[in-house]
Amino acid sequence: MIKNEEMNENVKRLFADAIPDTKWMEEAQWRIDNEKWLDISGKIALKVLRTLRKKGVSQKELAEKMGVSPQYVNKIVKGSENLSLETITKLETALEIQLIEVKSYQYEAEVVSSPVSDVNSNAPGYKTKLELVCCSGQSEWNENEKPKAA
Amino acid sequence: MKILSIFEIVKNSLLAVQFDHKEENEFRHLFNLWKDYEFLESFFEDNLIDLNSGFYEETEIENAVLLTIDDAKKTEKRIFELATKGQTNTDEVLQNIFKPLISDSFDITLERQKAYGLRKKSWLRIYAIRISPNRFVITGGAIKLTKTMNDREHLIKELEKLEIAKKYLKENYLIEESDFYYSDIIRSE
Repeated sequence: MIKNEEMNENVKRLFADAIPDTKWMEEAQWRIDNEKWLDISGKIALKVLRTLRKKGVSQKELAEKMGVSPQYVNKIVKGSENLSLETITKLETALEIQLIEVKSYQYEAEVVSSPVSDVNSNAPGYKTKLELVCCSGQSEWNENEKPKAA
Repeated sequence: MKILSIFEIVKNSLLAVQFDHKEENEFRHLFNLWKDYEFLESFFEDNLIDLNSGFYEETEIENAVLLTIDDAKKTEKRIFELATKGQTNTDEVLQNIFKPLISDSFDITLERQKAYGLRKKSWLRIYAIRISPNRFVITGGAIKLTKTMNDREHLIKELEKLEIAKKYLKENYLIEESDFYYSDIIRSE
């Protein structure tokens, strides 16, 4: 058994000989800075991988369908590719799946506390808002204005 | 399999070996692998029986991949914080991240996990040799879905890598065998 002091010297020598890994630091920082889109890219990659497996389609066949190189498809399924909308829609078409969904536009209007019957049914803004209030189960009626239960 | 070089990950505290058949050191290799969806999907598909053997809570492959990515990300951030701020400027020390490997193979670990809930512990493992308090040399890592390391090829390989590194440090830096012990990494909360 070596003495503690000698041990420390040996450990010191080991650290002195080691090569600083600056590349990992750069990569880790990049991953932290780009975390949000990387998460989306990864989820797309996973869906593509599971679909390929389920349908028995190879990455090469997918590449042919999309008109891109197999190397590019391989980059996509690793989950670190910053995908364009064009690429995503190509993937969706080739695999016959939906990968992303953009929520429909919802018209927002100032809420006026008036009975439904008073609202001009041709005014889409009011109608949409009232429908949303109704569906969410949250009342914006003033207690006194609330329609009485039959 | 031989050691080509040793890299310093965290100044004066964390080292990682590079084997002659790899293009990068074991630490970088692990984190590149654990963010690779293609590798992870394929790994869990190949080890589906182990995944649902009951050692961990049963889960779908998709979920297993996402859990792994999340665990790896959190672990990398913890080590990154240490690397950027240094051990003295954070509440974190390597000793908190690494735990003795030996307990991983005993029933007591499973009991402890059960008490805390099975997903409290990650299946990610970073294998290292402790050379002095808060100083470690990483030799590899794995996704460990079984109770012990002795019956799965990819885990046996990790034990071999630990032995090679131990021998290398002993021969080149005169660090006695009694000064080592193996460690693994626990789930980051």
